[in-house]
Amino acid sequence: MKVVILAGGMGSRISEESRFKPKPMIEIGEKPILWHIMKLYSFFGYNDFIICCGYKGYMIKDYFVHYYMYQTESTFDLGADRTQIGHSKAEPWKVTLVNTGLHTLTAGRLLKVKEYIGEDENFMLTYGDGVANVSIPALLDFHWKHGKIATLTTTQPAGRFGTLRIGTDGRIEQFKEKARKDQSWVNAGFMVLNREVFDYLGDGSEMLEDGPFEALVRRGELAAYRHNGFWAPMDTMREHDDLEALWKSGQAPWKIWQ
Amino acid sequence: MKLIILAGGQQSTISNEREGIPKPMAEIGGRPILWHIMKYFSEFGIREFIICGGYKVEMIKEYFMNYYIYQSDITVNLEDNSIQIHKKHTEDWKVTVADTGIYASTGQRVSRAQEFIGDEDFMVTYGDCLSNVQLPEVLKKHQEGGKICTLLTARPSGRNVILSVSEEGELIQDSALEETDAWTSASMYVFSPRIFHYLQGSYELDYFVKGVLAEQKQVTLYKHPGFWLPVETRRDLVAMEGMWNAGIAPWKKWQD
Repeated sequence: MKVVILAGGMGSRISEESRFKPKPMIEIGEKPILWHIMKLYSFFGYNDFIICCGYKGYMIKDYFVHYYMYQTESTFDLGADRTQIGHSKAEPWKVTLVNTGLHTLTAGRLLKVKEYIGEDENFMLTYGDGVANVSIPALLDFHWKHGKIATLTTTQPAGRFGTLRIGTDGRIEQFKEKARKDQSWVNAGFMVLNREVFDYLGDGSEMLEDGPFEALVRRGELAAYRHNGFWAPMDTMREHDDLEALWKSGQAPWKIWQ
Repeated sequence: MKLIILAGGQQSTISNEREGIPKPMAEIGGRPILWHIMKYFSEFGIREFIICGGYKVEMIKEYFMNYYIYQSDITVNLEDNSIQIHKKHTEDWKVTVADTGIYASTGQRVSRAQEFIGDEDFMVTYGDCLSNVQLPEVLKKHQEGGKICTLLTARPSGRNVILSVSEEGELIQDSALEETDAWTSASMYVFSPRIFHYLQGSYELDYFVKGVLAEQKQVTLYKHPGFWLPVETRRDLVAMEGMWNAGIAPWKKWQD
C-alpha cells in the first residue's frame, strides 16, 4: 500500500527555520522530520511513498536524489570523471516526488497525486510535520473492519495547560495539572483512505479537512482510530526543540526502529 | 539571437536564504528571477542563453543541471538508486553557464562570453530586471539604427521614481509627470559583435555605453513605455511576488 505525505505547505508558523526550507525538511537529530515519518511506515513494511511537494520542493527532490550516495562510501576518480558508489545502506524505499503547486490546498494536492496512486483501492495519508508511534497494522485492521471510506487517527495531545473547575463564586473547586485525558480528541493525520475519497474532493480548491471531510462525516464514511500512544506535531520552534531533546535523550518514543 | 544574462554580482540578502545567493536566483512564485527572464525572452523565439555567473555560480549550474528533475515529477528507487522521470517538463533552451569571476565588471563579463556569441548580433540583460519589452520592436529599431548598441530605456520605477516638483516646491500631479521626459537605462541592450573591439578594460557596461559608445554616436535609444522593474530590494521582490500570485505579472506572456 502506498503512503502519501503532505509536504508542500509554507509552514508559516515555524518561521525561523522554514524561511530556509520546507517544514518537512526541518531536522530532528540531523534527519528531516519527513525521514522520521517514513521510517515509521517502513518499519511496518510500507516502503512506497508519494511526497506532495510545493514550497521549496526542489530541496526535497535534492535530498532523495542524493540519498543513496550519502548512505554509502563513494570513490570519485576526478581525472577519469568516474564515480564508484559502494554498497548503500539506503532504505528500500521508492519515493515519488510530485510538484503539487505552491499555494494548492490539501484536497488539490491529493488530486494531483491521484495518477501515482494508480489503481490501488486504498492508500495511506499523513502530514509531513507530525511524528507518532501509531501501530500501522492496528490502524489498518480498524479500517478494514469498519469498511468506511476514510479513517483518521485521533489522539489527545499532551496537555500544556492545567485545567480548573471554578465555582460560581469564583472559587477554584478543582485543579488538575496538564492532564492529557482532559484534552479534546484531535486529528493527528495517519489516515487510511479508500480511493472513493477522490469523489469527495471536488475541484481541489479547499482543505481536505473542510468540505471533503464534512461531506464524509454527513454520510457516515469517516471513522476515527483512537491512538493513546505518542504523537507530536511540529508547529513551532518550541515543539521542534522538544522533539530534538527527546531524540538526543535516546528515548524518542516514535523511534520504534533499530 | 542569443541572450547574455549578467548574473555574477555580489550576494543578495533580499531572499529567504540563510546564506547569500546570487540575486538572479531569488525566487518569484517558486522559480528564480533568472527563469522568469528566460521564459519571457523565449516567448520571442530566443532559445540560447549565456549566463555570466560569478558569485556562487555553482548554484546556477546546479539549477540547470537538475532542471528537468525540478520541473518534472520523479520517482527515486533507493534500492538500486534509479530515477524515473514522469511527464518530462522542460524547455527547448540551450543554456551556457560561464564563470566570469567574482570581481569582474559587467563589461568584462560580456567580453568573457565572446567565445559563445559568434558573429551575430546579441542581447544583454541584467539578471535582476523584469519587463514586458516588445522585442520585435526593439530589434527593428536596432536594425534601422545600424549602430553598435541599442540601449533600452524605461520609465523609472519602484521606489526611485522621479518626481516633478514645481518651483514653489510643490509636487506636480501624476498626469504632468507622465509627460515629463524622464527615462532611465533599463539595463538591457542589443549589441553588434563589433562591440568586442571596443569593450576592453574594466568598464561597467552602462558606463561604457553612456560614455564611450555615446561619444562615438554608436547608441540607438529605444524607449520602452511599459512595465520595467529591477529587483533592488526585498520590497521589489515582494511586489513582484504579489503580482505573480494575483495573476497580473506583466512579464508573464506565456501559458502554464
